[in-house]
Amino acid sequence: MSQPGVDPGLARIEGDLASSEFESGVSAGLWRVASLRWPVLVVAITAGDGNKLGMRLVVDRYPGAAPAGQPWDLERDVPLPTSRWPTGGSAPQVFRLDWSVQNANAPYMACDRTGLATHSHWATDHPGRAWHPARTITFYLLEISHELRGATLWQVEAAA
Amino acid sequence: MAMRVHVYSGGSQGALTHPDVPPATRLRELVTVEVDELVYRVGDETEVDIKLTIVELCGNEPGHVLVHHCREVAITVSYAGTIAELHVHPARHVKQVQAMAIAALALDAGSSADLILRLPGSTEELTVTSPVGTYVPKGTCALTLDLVHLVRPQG
Repeated sequence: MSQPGVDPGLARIEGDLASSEFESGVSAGLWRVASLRWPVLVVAITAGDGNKLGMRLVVDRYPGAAPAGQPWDLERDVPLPTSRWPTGGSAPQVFRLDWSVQNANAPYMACDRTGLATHSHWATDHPGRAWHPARTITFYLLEISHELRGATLWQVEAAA
Repeated sequence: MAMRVHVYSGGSQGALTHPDVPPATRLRELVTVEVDELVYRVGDETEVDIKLTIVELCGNEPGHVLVHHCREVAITVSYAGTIAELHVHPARHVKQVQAMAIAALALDAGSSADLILRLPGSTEELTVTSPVGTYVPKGTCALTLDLVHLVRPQG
């Protein structure tokens, strides 16, 4: 039950962040919450090489509207430069220099708000991968996690 | 400080969540263990003593335990006309089973990047963070799965 004065979206996402589905992903090392300052959730998602990709997710109107995500520099709290976006595996098909950069740095995915808004047919053509109000934040993270399975991330020491 | 404990069981996808468990609570107060069933931490093959307290078992982290009737699950994975036979502990994550299947089928990284596991006839993928034992109903210790490619929206 929501408390008076608490945004129902915030109450809902706090509940979903405490669910077995979400916490089993934390326990399995797939992701963790970096911060939740409503309506922005920042998470770290593990890529195939074991490094973590920061993602900043705008989750206002959750779960009616899909999260709107972009790669995020967790240390500097700024958008992750495209030169540090994940590479390898299917990551370049999702974090697309030829599309994401012109679309709020959004991943090219049917679980993301920007992807859905710019591809109205995705919801019907790809129901298994599209966001709808019965989804939870865990679905979004699982979708990103899939695309990072074969990915590698730019590291400071790698550039040194 | 109260803790959260998620209890999984065979054939019951999803978990029963105990949201406010005092740390000194013994696990046996939270789980029902029938004859021939054992209790495990999810991701760990070692049997858990249900006389342990929740803080002894989980520290300060949320707990994930599985009550299951199998010591091992025989999994048949089908992929593009080929079959892989796996023997897996029920507490192992689906993610690990998926990796084992890809290795058993000798699939390279390029062709395996989009693969997911499904129950035959289902359009929903198995949750990679769940213990595989949740997909094994009581009365059997066998499971048949399909390894299929995800379709990525394009254009």
